[in-house]
Amino acid sequence: MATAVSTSPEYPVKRPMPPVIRGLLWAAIGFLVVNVFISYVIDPLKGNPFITQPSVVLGWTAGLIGWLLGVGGWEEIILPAFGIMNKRPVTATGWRQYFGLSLHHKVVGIQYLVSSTGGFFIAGLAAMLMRLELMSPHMWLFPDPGQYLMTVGIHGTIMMFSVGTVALVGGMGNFLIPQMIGSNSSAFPKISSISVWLVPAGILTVAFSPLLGQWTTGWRGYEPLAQNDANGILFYYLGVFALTTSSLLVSLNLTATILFKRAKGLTWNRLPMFAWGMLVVSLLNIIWLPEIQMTFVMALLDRLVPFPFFTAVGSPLTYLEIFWLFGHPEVYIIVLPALTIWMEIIPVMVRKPLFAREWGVIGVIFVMMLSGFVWAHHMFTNITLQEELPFSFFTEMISIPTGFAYMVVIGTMWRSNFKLTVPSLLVLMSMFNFLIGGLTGVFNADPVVDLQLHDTFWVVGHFHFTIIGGMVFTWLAAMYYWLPKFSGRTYNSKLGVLGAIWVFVGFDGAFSLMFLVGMEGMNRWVPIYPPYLQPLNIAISIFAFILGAGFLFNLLHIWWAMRSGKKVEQNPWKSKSLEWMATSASLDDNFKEEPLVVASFYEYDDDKPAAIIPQQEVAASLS
Amino acid sequence: MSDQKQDGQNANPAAGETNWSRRQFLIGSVGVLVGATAALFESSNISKAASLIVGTQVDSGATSVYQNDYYYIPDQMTWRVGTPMIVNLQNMSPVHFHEWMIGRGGFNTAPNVYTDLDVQFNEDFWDGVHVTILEANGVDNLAVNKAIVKLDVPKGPWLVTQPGSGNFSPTMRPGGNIKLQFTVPNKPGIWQYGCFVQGFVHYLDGMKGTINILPA
Amino acid sequence: MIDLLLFLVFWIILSILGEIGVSVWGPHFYYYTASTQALEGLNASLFLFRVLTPIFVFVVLMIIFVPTRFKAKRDGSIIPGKRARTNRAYVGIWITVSIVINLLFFLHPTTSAAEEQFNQLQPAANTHDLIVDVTARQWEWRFGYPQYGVNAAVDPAGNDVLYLPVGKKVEFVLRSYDFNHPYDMGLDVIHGFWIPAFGEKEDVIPGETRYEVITPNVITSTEVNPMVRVQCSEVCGPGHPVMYAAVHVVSMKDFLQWVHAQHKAGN
Repeated sequence: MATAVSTSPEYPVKRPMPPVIRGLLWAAIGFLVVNVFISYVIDPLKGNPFITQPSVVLGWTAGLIGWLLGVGGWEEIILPAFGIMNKRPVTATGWRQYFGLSLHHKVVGIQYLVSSTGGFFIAGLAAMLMRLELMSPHMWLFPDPGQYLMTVGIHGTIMMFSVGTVALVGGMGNFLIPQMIGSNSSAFPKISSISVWLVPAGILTVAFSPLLGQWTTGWRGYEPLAQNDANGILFYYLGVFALTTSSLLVSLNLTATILFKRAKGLTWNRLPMFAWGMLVVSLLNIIWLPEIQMTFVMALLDRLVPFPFFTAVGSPLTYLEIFWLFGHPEVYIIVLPALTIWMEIIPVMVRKPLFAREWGVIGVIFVMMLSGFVWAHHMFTNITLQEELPFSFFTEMISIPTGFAYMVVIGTMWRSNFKLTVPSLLVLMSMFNFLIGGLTGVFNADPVVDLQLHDTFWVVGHFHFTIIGGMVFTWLAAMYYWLPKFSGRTYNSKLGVLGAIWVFVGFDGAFSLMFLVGMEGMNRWVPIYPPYLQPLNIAISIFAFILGAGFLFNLLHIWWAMRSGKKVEQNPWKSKSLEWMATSASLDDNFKEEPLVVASFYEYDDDKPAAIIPQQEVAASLS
Repeated sequence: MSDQKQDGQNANPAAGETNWSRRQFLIGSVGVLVGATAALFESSNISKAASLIVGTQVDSGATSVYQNDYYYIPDQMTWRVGTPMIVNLQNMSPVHFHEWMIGRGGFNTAPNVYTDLDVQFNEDFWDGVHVTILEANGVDNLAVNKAIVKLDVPKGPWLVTQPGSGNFSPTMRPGGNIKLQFTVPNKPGIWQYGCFVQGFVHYLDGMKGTINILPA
Repeated sequence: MIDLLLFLVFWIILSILGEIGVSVWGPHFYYYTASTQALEGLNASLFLFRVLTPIFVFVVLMIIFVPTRFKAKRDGSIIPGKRARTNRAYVGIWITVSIVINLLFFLHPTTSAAEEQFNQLQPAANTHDLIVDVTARQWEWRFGYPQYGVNAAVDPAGNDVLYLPVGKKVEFVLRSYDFNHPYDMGLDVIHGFWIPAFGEKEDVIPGETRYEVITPNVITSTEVNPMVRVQCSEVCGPGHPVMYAAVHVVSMKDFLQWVHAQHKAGN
């Protein structure tokens, strides 16, 4: 009906404002009005500063609401909620669909992926600046230590909350899950359509937090140091709040989608591994994100009111306890999707059924459940001795279900028909790197050793091996593997192999040397360090620059492949999964008719399809 | 969902006309990003350039200096020799105490294990200057050094007059303020000010500014 | 079967080579140790290296062995015949071994080392320790020796300095507050007391008194090896990177002389 009005020729054509611009405008208006009202009218401070703590918090909130309404929330969500349907603008076509609110799960998935990639490169740039600074034991690039520490915090915060938790869940999850389970949309398309716009808002809030002042806490935003910092920490809390809200909404949507939108015949025993991964990750998000959000609200009130929850006169360690209570599940939020992507890609590449599938599922579920029992292993240096042992126990135990992923993948590869392609190469690299991350974690799990390793570059090396090694390498594998789903085109094999080896060399060089420099006495968060550590730091920096260039190379290659790579058929990998039966490289419905799943997707010992389109079967039998 | 689908499929050439403008989108979003990035990285240079173009105003009479974590507002001032001044030094930090030293001629440094830290200025601006304290709330300490101090407020334990306690420096508790009345002495040139508290880290972290004192 | 045998042979040979590597390189894992506690940590990590080496070799060898040995002959082909969907022996061994190894790690070195730490902290075991009051503030360490009446030890240049006698158990009493500005609670944050060569760090937490027991076993100092330095390990604000102090481990005689000099200087 909306189209009928707008296409009539005599209807005066007024070009609408681009949604992003309108969002920025409404955000600016919302911020200015509320901020001025509070800082000048309600609660002016001495000297009448334009920005005060309460004004900037409430102003930011108004700005965020303005942004979400401006990009399309007003017409697509608020007005329809009141039954007003005819105000909706003409749906944009072509590339414009990606720069406004969209109800299509593929568009939303790509929006998430692009936002994550943007965050990845902003935070990566911060990392490059840090490595540049660390090439000298003195301050030379940054004007002062506070700015260096702030860069560390921005790097970590954006990487964790807009890349680690978002790329594979909001991005790959939104894009793939409906196709994988034989549906044309997610369960709540409006939720995802609005939640994706929280990501750029959150990234920019954190990236521009220095405008408010220095914060030196790193990605934990931890108390009581946060109370001690200037107002920039407010934008940390607010930006992370936006990003975690986005992940929370996505998780609600994905859970409902997997529960209720599966095609006929897609029983739990046939559910794709990646869908299992998305399900357990979504449950982790739903359990733990509200917890950390409430913690951030308390930390904000600590400053605004002020309350003494986490200050020196309150309970300083409580913040760290409840931060890590979320913070360790967060690590599994990042890595569980990656483990299940291994189990998606490897059977296709080795042409052999997925081995011990049930143990793969049991593994991710047990990791999900155990992940809430291990948090205090981040705190061996500040809890009492008797508290250490139970956390040490569970930390060591959680390696068992994590190891099941290796058991499944190795069992699948054994005596198979292994095809070495860019995705399978990247999965192998990811397995190698995550293995190093896991085995070095055994040392951290042991309190007597951890008391030496904690807060050193050993730990920096360890968690980058788990997160970049586990998640980012797998993200690259997934991008190359599902590239035809995005564009109907594929990558150039030689460039792909070059890109994979490039990041592998840069990554393993930089982060394995971090283990050594950490053992030699290099602790974290120090732009000024004793000169004897300089040679190793220079070597790390050089590898880090190679790594940064390698990621850029892969980005450009994937971008090129999407636009002008070689065109491929619908199902180039001859996979049995449902997503390869769905339409590729178009925003038409995934499935014209609902498919019927008749077998497991991983039976690569015959040529029978795992799913059929019933109508086509009927037509075929008639003819 | 079905509405969406129909809209997409019914897209016709006329609908393209009502699509939003690409140019507006590009100019607007790139403009905002560039502006914000400039504010992020170049704000101090921009303000310096602006003061070069507009010219700084010469302070006289009542002036405020705000201490924040870890910077001053303003971080550059222009005074003229012989001008009577009343500087209200106000600590805006909710947490940190801050001081205000003025000096030049290099620094005393403390040799530390790996890094030498600047401790205070070699030449103290306040040497021999008559200063009247008009108001003092929440003063942590006021090291007098060689300034000639007159109190208009009750004397407190915060007044440190013994020699060897460093340059003249009023140190404010969080939220504290002090009003100093003085006449700009005949010491023209570029002076620096800074805060060296907490193991000299505030200065290391950029809590500094400059005063250009013009000849009478 | 031949695949399995070949793999096993490779695995055993490479594991042995790996263990030899651990023997050669392992003792240098901590780079430099100057306390018995650091040696305990080093021994624990050597044990972990020993056990983890075959596991590491197993997975890495798999990652290399499989793509070379089972390389696809034809593009996109299906292997004819049934392929294993599971294998009870393999899954059973995998799960049993991973549980056993993790239980082993929990018993040794985790629990055995924790027991050692418990014993060291027993009050009865610490009646003759040297007590050092370590106070952290933004951004400075201060070291006091209450048994010797030294309030704040400084070197001639005026920097805080830590002197310890060799071979004597030292009990560090860790507190975080600003002794110059005790009214300002907002300044009290978490610091980390770490001397890399001593192999242990403990956080210093406002409002808590914490303890760390160390027995230095080598005469050494920051000048001898920069790993012998007090370094704040927990980020505590912009001054965090410069929050360090020099350490000297000296003979008991030299230590008493130094205490005397501190008394003379009125510290």
